[in-house]
Amino acid sequence: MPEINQEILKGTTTVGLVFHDGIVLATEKRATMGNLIASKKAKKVYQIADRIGMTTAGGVGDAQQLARLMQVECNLYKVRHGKTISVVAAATLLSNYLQQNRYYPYYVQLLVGGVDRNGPSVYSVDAMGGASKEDDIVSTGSGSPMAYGVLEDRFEADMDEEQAAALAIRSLKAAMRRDSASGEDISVVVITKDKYEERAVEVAKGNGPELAH
Amino acid sequence: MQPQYQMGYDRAITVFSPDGRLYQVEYAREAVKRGTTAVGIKCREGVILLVDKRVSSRLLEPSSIEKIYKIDEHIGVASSGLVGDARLLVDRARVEAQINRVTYDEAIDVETLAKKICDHMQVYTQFGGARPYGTALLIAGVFEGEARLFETDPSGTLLEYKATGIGIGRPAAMKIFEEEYNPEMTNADAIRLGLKALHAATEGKFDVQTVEIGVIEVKNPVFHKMEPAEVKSFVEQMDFESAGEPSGE
Repeated sequence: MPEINQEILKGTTTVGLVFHDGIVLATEKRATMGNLIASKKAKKVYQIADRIGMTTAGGVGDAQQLARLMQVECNLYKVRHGKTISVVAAATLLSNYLQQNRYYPYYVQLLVGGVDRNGPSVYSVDAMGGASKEDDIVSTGSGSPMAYGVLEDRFEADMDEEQAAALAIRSLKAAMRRDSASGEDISVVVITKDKYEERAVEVAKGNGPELAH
Repeated sequence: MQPQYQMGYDRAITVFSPDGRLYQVEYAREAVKRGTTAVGIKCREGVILLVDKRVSSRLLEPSSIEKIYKIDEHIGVASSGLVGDARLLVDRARVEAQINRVTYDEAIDVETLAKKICDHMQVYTQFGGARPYGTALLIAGVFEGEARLFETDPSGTLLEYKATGIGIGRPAAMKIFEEEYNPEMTNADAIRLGLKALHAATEGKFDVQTVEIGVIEVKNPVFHKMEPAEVKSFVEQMDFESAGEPSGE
């Protein structure tokens, strides 16, 4: 059973970027079971708090369960503390939970990013609970080497929202071309202190305006 | 037999009396009322806590009496009532503060900590097998640039104050605060007002050795207990003789 589960959504590409006053989280939408494309519209980025998003890669069931858990924890934090949870607090909470389940792990690789009173930040969190703060760019999943190539080449510290979103899309598209487990359309989430905005970018049909380089 | 009908409502804490009271909880509050006086004052610059240690014998080492405790970097508490109970609550508060750091990688909010302590105290007013805490706490701290001051009692009630007192001298201290409290005070002013309240509350039976002071500033949010020498300098400034009339302000 675990073998089957682990095939699901194993291949994925997610990217996270930090720009001056916000962050971008972006994923493609292909889910695979071995060589089968199991879904062409898989959800891999979740809103877990007002200004915090989480991307998932790994087992779909594990990822969905963790997303629900984080949504509940963030809601509880808000009502108990009278303020929204910070990104570091959400990442630390998630890290602790994953570490507690070390010997029967959630098969996931996550990005937790958002904007709080300390500004924008993104954390990558692994199945063993390792949580690292990422300063500018980060990518996970089987397509991450290709995405990193584009991100490392093109990322600049003073990017604005649209430039960051465009770069995220560009890096995903590189991954989608060369990683068979990544493809279809793209979901981009832009978070600033004023908004959590999810944008659907159609790539599969080749009619998205963002396609043109 | 007949006397049996009269009793029962104060034998178990989980039993309400017919008029809706929990006698054991009220008795616990009584233990606090007989405790030493502690006062807390919130002001423009921060929060201060003062306690009267009630040194009952000249043979006693005053430094062995501890009624102000540091909980975390940014939070301190003062206790009144049963000292043993207070120590247990303080240890719990310290652990809760650290749990917050481990869980969220953040310092605990003063209000969250106060609520955690109250949640714990409340359990002993509802479940049998143990008695309520005979302790009240003043919880002072600074979080995200804001000074906070909370008061707990054995029922688990939580109240936030600008200035307050617990223990036997509460009425006297509150009377002075009602008349003289000003939110624009400096910490030094607040300490002087606190000393005045403590002096009134202890009917003058107080000196340098019997006073303990805890301070936290908004600008430098680190709770610390004042050194005896510093306490001494404040106490010696005070002119308690003219305490009855408004001193030169």
